[in-house]
Amino acid sequence: MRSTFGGLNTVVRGLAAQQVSLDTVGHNVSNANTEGYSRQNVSLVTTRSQSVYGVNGENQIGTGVNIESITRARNTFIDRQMWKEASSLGYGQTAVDTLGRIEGIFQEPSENGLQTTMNKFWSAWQTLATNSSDEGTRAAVRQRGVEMVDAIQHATKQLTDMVSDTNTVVDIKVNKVNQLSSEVYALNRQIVVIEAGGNDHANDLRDRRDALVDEMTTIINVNVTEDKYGNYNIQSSGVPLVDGVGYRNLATVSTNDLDYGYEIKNVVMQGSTQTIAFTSGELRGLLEMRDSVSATNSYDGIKGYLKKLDKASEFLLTDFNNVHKAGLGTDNSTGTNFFGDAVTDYNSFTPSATTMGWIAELKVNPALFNTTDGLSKIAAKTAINNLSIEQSNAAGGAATVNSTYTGTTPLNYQVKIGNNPPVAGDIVAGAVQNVRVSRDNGVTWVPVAPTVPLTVPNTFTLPSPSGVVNVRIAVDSHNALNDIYTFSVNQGNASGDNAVNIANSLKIDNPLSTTLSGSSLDSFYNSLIGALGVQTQSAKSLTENQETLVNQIENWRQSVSGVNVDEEMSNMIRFQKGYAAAARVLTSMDEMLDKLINSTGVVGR
Amino acid sequence: MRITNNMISNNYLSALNKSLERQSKIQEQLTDGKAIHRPSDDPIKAIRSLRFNTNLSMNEQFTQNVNDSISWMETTDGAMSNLSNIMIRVKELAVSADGNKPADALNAIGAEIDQLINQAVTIGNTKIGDRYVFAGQMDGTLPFERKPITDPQSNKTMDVVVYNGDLNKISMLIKPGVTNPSEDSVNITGEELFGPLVYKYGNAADPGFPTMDIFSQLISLKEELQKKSSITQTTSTAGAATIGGAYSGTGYTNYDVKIDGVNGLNQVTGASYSMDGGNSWTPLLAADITAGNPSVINNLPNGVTLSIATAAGNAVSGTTYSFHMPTSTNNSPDTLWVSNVALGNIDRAHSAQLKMHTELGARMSTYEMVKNILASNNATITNDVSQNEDLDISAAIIDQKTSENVYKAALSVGAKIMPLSLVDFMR
Repeated sequence: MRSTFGGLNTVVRGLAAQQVSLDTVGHNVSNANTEGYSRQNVSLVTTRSQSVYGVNGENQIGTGVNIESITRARNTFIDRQMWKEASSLGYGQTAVDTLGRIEGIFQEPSENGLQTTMNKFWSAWQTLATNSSDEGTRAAVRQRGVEMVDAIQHATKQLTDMVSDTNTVVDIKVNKVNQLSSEVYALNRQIVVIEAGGNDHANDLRDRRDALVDEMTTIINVNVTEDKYGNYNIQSSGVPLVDGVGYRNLATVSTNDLDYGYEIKNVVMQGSTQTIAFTSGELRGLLEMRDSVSATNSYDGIKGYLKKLDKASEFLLTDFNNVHKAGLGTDNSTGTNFFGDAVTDYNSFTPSATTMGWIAELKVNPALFNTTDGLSKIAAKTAINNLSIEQSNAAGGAATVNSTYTGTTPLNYQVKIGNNPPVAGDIVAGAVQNVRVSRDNGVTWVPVAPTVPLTVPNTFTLPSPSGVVNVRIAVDSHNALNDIYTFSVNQGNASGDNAVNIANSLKIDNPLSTTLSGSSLDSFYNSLIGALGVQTQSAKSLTENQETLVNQIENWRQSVSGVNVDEEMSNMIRFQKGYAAAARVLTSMDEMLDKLINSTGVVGR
Repeated sequence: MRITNNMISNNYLSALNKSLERQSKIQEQLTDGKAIHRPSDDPIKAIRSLRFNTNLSMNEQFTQNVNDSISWMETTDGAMSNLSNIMIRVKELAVSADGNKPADALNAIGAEIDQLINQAVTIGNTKIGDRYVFAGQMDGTLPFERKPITDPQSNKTMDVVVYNGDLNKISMLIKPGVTNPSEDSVNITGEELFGPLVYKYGNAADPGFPTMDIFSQLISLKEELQKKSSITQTTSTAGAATIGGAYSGTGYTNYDVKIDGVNGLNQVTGASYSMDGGNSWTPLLAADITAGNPSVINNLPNGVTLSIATAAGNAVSGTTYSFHMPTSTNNSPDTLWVSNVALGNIDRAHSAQLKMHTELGARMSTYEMVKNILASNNATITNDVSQNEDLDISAAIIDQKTSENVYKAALSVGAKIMPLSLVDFMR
């Protein structure tokens, strides 16, 4: 026999269940736009049925509905995919940002870039080559040198500013990670408390914790595992960050870069000095873009480009200076540096590791700014070896001259093979043993003996009023007595052939120069810009792909966990109807009981 | 697949963003007409652009060098034409100085040749801007200077044109590479213009003064034509003087003789001479002067004698007689030498100059050709730069219109779909 009031309980349970479901619908709808929210479902189950004894045996009567659990619709597989790809996206985006800024520093191709400055520098030297005694042209060359130095040092300053900006951002990101770690830990504790006993689901807290991990993965790469109590154990690159009992902070430690001495910050566990090497995320992007050099990492970051500018400065201070030092100024001074200071020989110079290496040394030689003789020290002409020597016997050995003659009147020489008068023994097996020289166009001849007799080929020191003039005639079987060699000594001040050599060192590859591995400054700079362009372009396309992938995963996650307002509305109608029906049933039961209670046993009254 | 509202709005936003990105890129390109603004837009084009611009600036530099060379050579050309006219005039004069002319006429021809020498020196000092054209590489120093110098061997004063420049070539590069004076030199040195460099008036220790052959020839010609007993006297009323004796010196010697004593018959009885233009005077002994009409002064240096006629103006103070030697015994220039030797030398020198001038003309036309080549190269390189860097404007505008339409379509579709939901339809 069924209990009298048992049906009421059944219906009451139904009312309560529909109410709770409606509440859940209201919760879903309110949180439709909450970040990281996953929609919650009420899972209803029937309660235990009651056995009622009837005529034919037992019958089971249902006793209503109960709420088993309220769960959130969440696919943890998707979450893990998301955490992995979001790290890569964070890494890609910082790389693209940094490279974009580096491109902005170099500003190629445009009229404001370093290439245009180098072209103007080259033009200035070429103009000097045609008019090298003109003070105005010399001043222009010096000024273009200053422009080159300014351009390189300005770019360097901007790159080092980027380094210090990066350091600041690393600090900020590390603070953010620490803050997230502490919040995740707090949530861990709350969730464990709520879910103790194994039955409950701390839906909203878990949503919040997952959202925090989302944020954390953009910054660093993480490895998340959940233990049996519901704690998230988070570690990053082998370093444990959060677990059930506590969390650890990251810290930054400041050192000086080994090569250039500027401050760099690295990330460590607080209290240790071991640097953490992240494998993905924005922090990895920032640190790598700051520090990597293509020699070790196969691509360049800010430091890589600083190294390249350093190499360019080294080239200007060594190879370029060497060509300048080999030439002579209008006051016949030689060995003057064009870049750098006046006294250092940069071929044997090692830059210190606490400043910007070669870049710090780069300046136009202050001696060239001296008002009395600075401009005349710009070495536009070469030493005597490049003079053209006319020889009467084209088949004979070639003559080469070197001299330290410092006079200003040209010395004209005619050198004839053979003593005065010539004898057969003056040429032995093609090697010249004696010459005679005339300085008055062949009128008088003076014999000259070799400097060191019997060495082959011989050097003859010619008479000269100041300084030394040596001539050497190559060994050749066609050398004959009375062959004449004519040349004059001392370059006039309008000669600009060293200026041409200097200009060529900027543009023409020289395999003998090792600073840039045989390239000219132009080729080196072109390959720098090309590498920058390719690197940035590939970073951009990788990041774009990554963005698309992350969007897809987000869509997938939304598809599983997101709130669809239409669905919630139809659910709302369902539960509303359910509630209304249950209320109806309750009303009818109430009437029945009312009949039973109030109307039974009152016959005829 | 279950679709939620957030998915729709996210997708909508990301599609709109992509469309806006495309439009922003096109806008950047259309603003300045360039296809690439940073190396990452197209790295290969970026490097090519750097190379092309470098080539363009090299081409411009060489074009400027060619223009400088051409103007240099044009100046040289004008100077050489003038010089040729001078040489022709000298030859005319030399031909006209034949044996039938009196000594005065020959002296006048000599004076004109003197002026022509000065003109030739002026031509040799031609400037372009502030650079001397014929000075070799010493283009800041005056190349030709005509001045009297003292011959250390004979202590006489000689008239010489000294060359202060050098024999080197100025190179102006018109193609990449190193300088090669035989290919890219633009100047004609003084030596090529006026003949080989000779050193004169030197001794064992010092080669002497550098001078040019043509000037030596012209000066010898002038001196030959000006041989005469030209005696200048400071007082016109004093007696006329004539030169005698056999001059035994070499080259020019200047004499100054002044009267130190006059007797009652207005005859000169005392004199002194100076060989340095009046700075120091050596008195003559009484035995050296034979008074008379004229008085003969013997024992002047180099075997020269001077006869001074009697005149009322002969006085002790003031009257000075200046003359220079050499003068030949018959007091007249050697016209045979003039018409054979001197004329031949001048002729040869002129032919050498004409040859130089012709070579210069050939060089100039080569340079004009190089100028044209460089100009057409410039057009080619500019074209390459433009093709590489410039935007195809018509394609970009079509692109921009297309993406604008896509953007509008996306906006309108989103506006229709997104606001709808079941809520609008429930009573």
